[in-house]
Amino acid sequence: MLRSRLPMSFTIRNRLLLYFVCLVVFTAVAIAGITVVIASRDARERVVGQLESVATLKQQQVDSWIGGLRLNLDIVLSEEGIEQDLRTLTRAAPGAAERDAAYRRVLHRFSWVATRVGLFEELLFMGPEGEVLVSTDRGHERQQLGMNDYFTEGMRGEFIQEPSWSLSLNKMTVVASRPVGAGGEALGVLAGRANLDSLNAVMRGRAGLGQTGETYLVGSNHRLLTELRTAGYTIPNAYVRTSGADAAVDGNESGSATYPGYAGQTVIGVYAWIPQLKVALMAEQGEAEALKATRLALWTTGAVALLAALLAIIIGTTLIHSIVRPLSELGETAGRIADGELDLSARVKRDDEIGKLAGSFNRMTGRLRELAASKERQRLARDLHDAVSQTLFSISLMAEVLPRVYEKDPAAGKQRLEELRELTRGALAEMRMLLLELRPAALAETSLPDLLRQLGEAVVGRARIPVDVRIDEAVSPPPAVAVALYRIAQEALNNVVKHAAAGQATVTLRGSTGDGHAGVELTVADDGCGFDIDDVRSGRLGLGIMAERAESIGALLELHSAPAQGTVVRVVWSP
Amino acid sequence: MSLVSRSLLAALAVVLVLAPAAVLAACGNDSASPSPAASPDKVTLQLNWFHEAEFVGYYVAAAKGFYGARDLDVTILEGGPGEPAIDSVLDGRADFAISSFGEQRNAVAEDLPTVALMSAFQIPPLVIFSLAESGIASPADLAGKRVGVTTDYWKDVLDETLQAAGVKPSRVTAIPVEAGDLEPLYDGTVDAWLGYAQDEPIRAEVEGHRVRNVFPADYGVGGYEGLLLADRQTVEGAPELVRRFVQASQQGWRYAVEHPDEAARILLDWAPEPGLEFQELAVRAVAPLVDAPQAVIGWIDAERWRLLMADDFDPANPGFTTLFSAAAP
Repeated sequence: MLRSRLPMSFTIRNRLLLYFVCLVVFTAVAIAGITVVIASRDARERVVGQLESVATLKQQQVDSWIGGLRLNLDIVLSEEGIEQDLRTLTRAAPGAAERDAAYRRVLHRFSWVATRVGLFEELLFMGPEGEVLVSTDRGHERQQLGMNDYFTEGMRGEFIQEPSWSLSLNKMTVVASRPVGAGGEALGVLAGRANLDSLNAVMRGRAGLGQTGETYLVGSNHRLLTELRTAGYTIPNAYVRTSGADAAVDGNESGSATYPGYAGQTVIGVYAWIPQLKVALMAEQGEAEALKATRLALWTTGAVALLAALLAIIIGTTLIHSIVRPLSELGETAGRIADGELDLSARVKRDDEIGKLAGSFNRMTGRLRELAASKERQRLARDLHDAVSQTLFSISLMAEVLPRVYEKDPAAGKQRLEELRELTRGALAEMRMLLLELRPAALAETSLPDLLRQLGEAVVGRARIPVDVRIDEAVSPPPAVAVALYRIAQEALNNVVKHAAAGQATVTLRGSTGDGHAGVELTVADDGCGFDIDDVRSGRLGLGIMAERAESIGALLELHSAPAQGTVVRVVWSP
Repeated sequence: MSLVSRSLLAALAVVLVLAPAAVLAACGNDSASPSPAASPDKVTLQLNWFHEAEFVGYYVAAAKGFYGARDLDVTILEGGPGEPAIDSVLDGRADFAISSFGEQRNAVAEDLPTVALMSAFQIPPLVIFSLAESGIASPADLAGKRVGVTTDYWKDVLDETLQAAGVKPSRVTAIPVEAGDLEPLYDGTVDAWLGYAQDEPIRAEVEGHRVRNVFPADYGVGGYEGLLLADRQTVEGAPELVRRFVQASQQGWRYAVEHPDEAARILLDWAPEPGLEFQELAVRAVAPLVDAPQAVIGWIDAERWRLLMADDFDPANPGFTTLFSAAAP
């Protein structure tokens, strides 16, 4: 009863379980959480680092391509006499033989460089007004290109025009230009038109960025300049407006970020502004793919942590159960022994501390059992000596003298014979009671009226005090109640014999039908010396024991006594 | 609940309802836009031709709400042959009008008070086109060929281009043709045709012919095109209104160029006749002429303008301003 009123968390089992789970779960969560944070950050940094190195590589290729454009313009002009020929073209009148010869030599030189190097699709020379005087693409001669930056800027110095859409060629082109002529005054502009195919190839070149990784160029007006992996983005009608492209194109910045890509999917991107070409170099990889391996690893870590936690809880529960169960079994056994089942012993199945405890417990109960048995034997021996043997001695004395008494006075002989019969019955009753004490189980098997009658006879046999036993035969309480009532009656009669000096005692058992229940009322009364209840401490006279027994069956014990007024003990039990 | 906390809650509710509106208003546009509570300014734009891809930026600005966001309610009026749009701003029928460079040049020469605010086209959309298999890739290739011309204007463009490319115009036969029917080109009656990049070549393509364009612009012929004009009185009297209109229009053009297919669908609402395929190709043809390497969208370069105006250039009355462009410094 007491144990079950404790809060759940107070039992050893629950406390252990709580500590165990807290320990394991906290550790698992902490490890998993820290791993996720660190690994995510590392993975992102690693991806950015990878993209940066790719971007750097591509940027170097772009730079060297631009360098190649410049170098090749220089190569065109490196030939002896070419500058003089170009001067002739700008000065001589159309149709002049001198001009035609110069034109042929220049065209030859242009064509030779263009085909040998393969970098320029078209090499052209523009006069001081921007008119095309020589071009490897003859159809472009006489074009007026003075409006273009590559002319106006090219008159002043080396220039690379940003990639732009050529209407006549129907493709993206880059024009490199430089002035011709030394000494301040430029004769005109030498320009080379390169298409973006080679840059396109550079950008499209695989760089170990997985399925979604790619690099591409974006112009200063956000126009897409090189092809994308995703279909549906055609040049020159595709524009790239992502936060990465915005930062590079509008802010001329270089950096990295995670943002929605041109197709809407989240990408990790590295962007770099290439000022020589006025383009943004974008290197991007889909976030999902870039972090796939890491995310898988993290999910695995999480799953393992969860599994470990579950496993720990299961193992912990089993372990705790294996510790607590034998303990509670031991406790139960101890409780049952306390309740009288002295023959019980705890099960010892283990060799650990609990096994040892159970073993010690069994040795202790064994020892206690021996002790109790020897005390009981001593008590029986004493009782036999005190009661039965004295009675038997009286019987044998009486039996010895009886023939002679009977001869002298048959009436007195008859009376002695009657006394002899009473003594014999008393001895018999006492013997039965002692036997009952030797075999407690028999108590429960004998009916309460029989038990009470035996008690009465035993007292008569032992103490020669007349005991009037009045029994309502219909009364039949449960065995536990019957035993308790018997013990109370026994204790009360013991008091009568030992202390009351009474001339008469009465034991009454009757049904108490109050409230409609089949209750029982037991009364033991005597006409002896009585006592002052206030003077007697509850431990004395076995009163405490009687009260405990009454309480154990939920019965009410009343005690009425006063000096020279006799004593009444009444027990009322109702189911 | 006490009266005080009740009124506090009411105040909170009012703030919660009004705050987003206030934020939106604050973010909508810079100082230029007045409070949205006032009714929008009504503005009329007179086009100089039938609805077509040449004006797609304005339709997009209207459809995407760029005008509305700047508190403008814009009416776009269709033009047509024989009625110069430029007149409508001069006599006050419209606030803004589209004109060709030639018209504005003449107007400036006549001291008329029209001011160009932006140029939709950085490269004029004039083309000499031929069937791809003809192999005509430059004006020089036209020597000895027959070229279909619909009007004197196109004859002038042809001759100017030939001359710039060093080809004697007499070596090319100009054949008068009807504007609506490209059959003479298909059946070989003529070898080439002059027209607008967003019109005749697209029609040929839709009708199943691959064509090749030669741009007279490459030979210095033509300059700015699709000018947005206003009367000087409007420009000086309502500069904020002009700024809002110009910038919203430039935003429309930028959007159209970057989203050609969406722009084509918007254009289709105004000009459904040619069909979606035609309009998609037309917008794609216009885009590279509008967003060209020379400058940001809508910009007019002073030096280029001066060169194009040639003898008619008057520094005191240049006939254009970029003050209202988004890219203005």
